Amino acid sequence: MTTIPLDVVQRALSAEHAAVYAYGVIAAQLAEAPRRDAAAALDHHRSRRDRLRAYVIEGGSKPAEPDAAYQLPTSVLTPVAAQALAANVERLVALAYGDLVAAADGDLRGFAAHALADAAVRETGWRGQAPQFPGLTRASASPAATP
Amino acid sequence: MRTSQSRRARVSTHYCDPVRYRPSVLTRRALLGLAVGTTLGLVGCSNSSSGDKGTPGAGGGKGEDPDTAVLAEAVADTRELIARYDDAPASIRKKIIALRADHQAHLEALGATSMTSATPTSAFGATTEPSAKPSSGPAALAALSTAEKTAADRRVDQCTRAKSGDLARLLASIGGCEAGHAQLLDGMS
Repeated sequence: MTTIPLDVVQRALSAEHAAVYAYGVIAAQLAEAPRRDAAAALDHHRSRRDRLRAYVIEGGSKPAEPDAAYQLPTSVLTPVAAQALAANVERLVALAYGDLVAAADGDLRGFAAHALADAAVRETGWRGQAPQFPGLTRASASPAATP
Repeated sequence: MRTSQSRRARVSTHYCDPVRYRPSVLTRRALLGLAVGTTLGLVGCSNSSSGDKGTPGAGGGKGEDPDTAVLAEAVADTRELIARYDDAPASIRKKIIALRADHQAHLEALGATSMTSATPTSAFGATTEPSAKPSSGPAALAALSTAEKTAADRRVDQCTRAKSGDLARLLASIGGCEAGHAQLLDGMS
């Protein structure tokens, strides 16, 4: 039997809300081919957002709403910065799903694991490098200077 | 940058990070804590010897820990993947060396250094003959991509069978990396 860890689902939902917002901004800054990728990513995030909403409702609570506004790194996004932002958005989403994988079981865990993998694939596309443990690193540690 | 809307500070801080992400550094640091966490989780689980057995086919000798079988499967799969990378033709080695290193990190995170004897039947190897090594670069890249996709699917399956939430998260993360590898390999050929 699947129990629904509402807090964790709500956090994943908030991450998807942020991703939907960010991709709207990101897509506008990109050339045609990457813009198509961003548009596809946006669709996937909307779809996952809706699934999460349904899980929250199933769990007997009210789904988290998107914020009125989100802060972006700069007021003007270059295409390069837009792609970096997309990669970071995917990492945040993957982390949220990592938490959900750990907290959930059954179908919900499977859903979260698939969503995590999809986010990792998209991050790989934006960054040109695969994340080693996409759902794991909570430490927001400042990137070290030495590799 | 707006400062008035700081409700989502946690999210926006990540967005603001202007420095390029260095996954290898961050994850290596995280690994130390992780390996310990995973081990502790497994030790904790072994006290409650539930009668719930994992799937057949991975039955090691020790039946008391419900996650032993899942963990051993993941370790065997990862070793199999590393062996595939080692068998790749020299012409593509340089391209794939970073991917092999990821698998080595996965192996360490799974605690495989301390469970060398627990390797079960080669879950992966059963599907592919060892003699069928691709000799050309493109064929090898395609074969590795297929292996990574299969691995990613297996990780999701193992993740849903794990009793420990921490182990499930680790397995899902490894699967995400493998899925990313498949994408990179597809782009190389």
